[in-house]
Amino acid sequence: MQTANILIVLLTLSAVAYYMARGRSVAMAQSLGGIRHLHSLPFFYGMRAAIWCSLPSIALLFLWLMFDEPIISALLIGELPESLQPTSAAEHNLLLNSIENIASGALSAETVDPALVAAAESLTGLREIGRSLLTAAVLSTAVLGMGWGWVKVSPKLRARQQVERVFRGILLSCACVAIFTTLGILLSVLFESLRFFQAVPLSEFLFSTEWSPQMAIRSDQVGSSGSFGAIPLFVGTLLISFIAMFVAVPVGLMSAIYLAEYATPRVRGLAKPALEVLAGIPTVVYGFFAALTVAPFLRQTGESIGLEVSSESALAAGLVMGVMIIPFISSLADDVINAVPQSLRDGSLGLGATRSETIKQVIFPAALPGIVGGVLLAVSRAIGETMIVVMAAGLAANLTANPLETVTTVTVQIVTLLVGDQEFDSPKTLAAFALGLMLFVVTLVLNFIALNVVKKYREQYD
Amino acid sequence: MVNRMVMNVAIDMPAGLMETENEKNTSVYPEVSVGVPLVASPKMSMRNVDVFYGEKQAIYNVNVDIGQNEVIAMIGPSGCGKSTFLRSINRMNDTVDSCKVTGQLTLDGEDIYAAKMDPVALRARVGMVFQKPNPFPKTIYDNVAYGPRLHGLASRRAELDEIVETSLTRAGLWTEVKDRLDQPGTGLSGGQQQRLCIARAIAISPEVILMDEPCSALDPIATAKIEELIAELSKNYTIAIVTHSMQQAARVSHRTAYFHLGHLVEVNETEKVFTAPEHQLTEAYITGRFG
Repeated sequence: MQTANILIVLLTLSAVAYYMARGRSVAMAQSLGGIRHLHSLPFFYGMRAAIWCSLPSIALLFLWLMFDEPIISALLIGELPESLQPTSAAEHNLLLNSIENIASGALSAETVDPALVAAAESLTGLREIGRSLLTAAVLSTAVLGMGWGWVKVSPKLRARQQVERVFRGILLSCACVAIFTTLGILLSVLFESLRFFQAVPLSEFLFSTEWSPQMAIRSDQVGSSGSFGAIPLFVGTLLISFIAMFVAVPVGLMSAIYLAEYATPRVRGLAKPALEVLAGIPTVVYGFFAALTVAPFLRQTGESIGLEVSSESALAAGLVMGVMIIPFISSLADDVINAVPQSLRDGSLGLGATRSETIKQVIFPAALPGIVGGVLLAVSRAIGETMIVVMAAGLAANLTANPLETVTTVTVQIVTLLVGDQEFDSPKTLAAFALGLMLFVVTLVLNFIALNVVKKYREQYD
Repeated sequence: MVNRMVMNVAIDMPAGLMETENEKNTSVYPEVSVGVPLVASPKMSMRNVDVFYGEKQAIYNVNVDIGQNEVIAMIGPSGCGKSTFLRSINRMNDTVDSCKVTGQLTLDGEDIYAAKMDPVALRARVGMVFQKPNPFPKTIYDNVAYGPRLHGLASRRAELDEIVETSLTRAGLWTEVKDRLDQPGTGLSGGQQQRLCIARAIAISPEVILMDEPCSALDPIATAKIEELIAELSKNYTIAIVTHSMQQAARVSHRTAYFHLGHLVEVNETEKVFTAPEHQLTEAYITGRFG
């Protein structure tokens, strides 16, 4: 049976187990005088049986699938005559590959060693046997579990505790998935970065001001040897993020204050969703808006007042990114401002403060920690944003603070380093991992600061 | 109390009402509150006040005066509109969009709902202390200095210091906090916080102080301190206090007003209200038959 089919059968068996055990507990309860004489509700007896039916058999299924291929290949290789025994790992894989191809008919059996043909046949045979064994083993485990679940049903059985323990385990493992994924990404980026730093010294990466990652791929090729100073990239990133925050923070905050403090419920009901639509626009749309509308507009305006504006400028990318971040800040700030207790507003108004005085002197300071947290989260977002800058900011790694010039960012360089054909042991490619690691560290530090600011001041009013 | 001359025959009090005194009113609301709702030369006077929240009417035709340096207590079962009425007196209800107040409310003869009356200026004259202590998340000093700073009451730091010290002293808090004025007001105990809020309110020298159940979140000792404070403050201020505790009303107030479901049923000398209530509803409430 195919794995998918086995899973479907297991699911059905679990449902059957649930209903059987549940029915048995209800029947037992009836003879005792009602469900309250059972230790747990019938649902838990049913769930307990379903868990016994499904969990062990699914675990067995996965273990089997993990180990059957290596075992089969070991058997195959063992059967081969001495002359064909592989001497290296690469040869071993090649051999297995050709056996596989013969078995699937992709490689004609007439052109190869008869020993391999025999191996291919035995591969097919072994696989069939493996399948049948697997099906039998899994299904019998399931049936055994189901029986166990059914037999053990008794009024004294602590089914609720057992089921809840299993559910807690499932919740825990879901939480672990996120943590381990993060850890896995971090480690893989870290190890690739270490390889990069073997080729390029850390000091060059951190302190050199020249970024030109082109490497000669073949030794006879004319090309630069590459230089990997990340400073222009981080300066570009910071410049664009700064422009974006320069737009987003005031506009976002003020719109949040308007929405939270001044807007009538009707205006609020209309304006808030409208503002949040901005958050729903895909960044690629923002990107071509920046590249095709804003950048030419800035260039023309600049020319008309005698400024030289590059057609791909930090300003265009930053402005559009700022607009993208507005709903992020306004919605976070709006929540924080709304969380300031009404009693503080009343207290201030009751002392003869105007609404704007109240906002300036009481509400804003009280909401400040949350607002700072929100702004820092928005900064992390600006730093990590890719699509807009790829399209609108350009590729040249200029070390400049002039927003009218082309700059490039860390994320843009990661994209360009990895697009197209790559050699995975060249520093050019590995540089992407190092940049990614730096970016990860920077945003992590920002998030850490943001969370701590929020935590430190969270209970100020209460 | 000195200059409070009770006018027993109010201007627009129907004659029929006066006669009902002996036979005790039925539970129907009196058209005009029984007892002594009006006084001579009032600090504040309210005539035919109706308050609506959207379609719902919360206050029905209330007529009452608050005398100079008087402490008037407002009692009544929950939801009877006493807080709503209190919040109408300094236009705090303006902040509630659906709220509408009609009738005539005056402070020293000035209509407080007149178009030219600035609610902000009004609230500086009619201060308010709330049910739950609500110190700002600022230092103790800044809490008290908040109002004076807003209204520019002190031009120099020394003047401000003096206002802060006087207000805290009057609120009976100075000795407890004088060494930690730079610490957050939110770090004080509940009773201290409420006295801080009172200090904050008197720092701008209001003429009237409205207190909305100022002790309901406090323990008995803190409550006793606030009650002493109210007695002390009444020398300088006119005070209207909403309370759920009839003992408190009896202890601190000169006159007591009984509200029932938006109607002002009875207003009288506090002693009279609690010993010889004129209206059946008042009697039922103070004897604990409901509320």
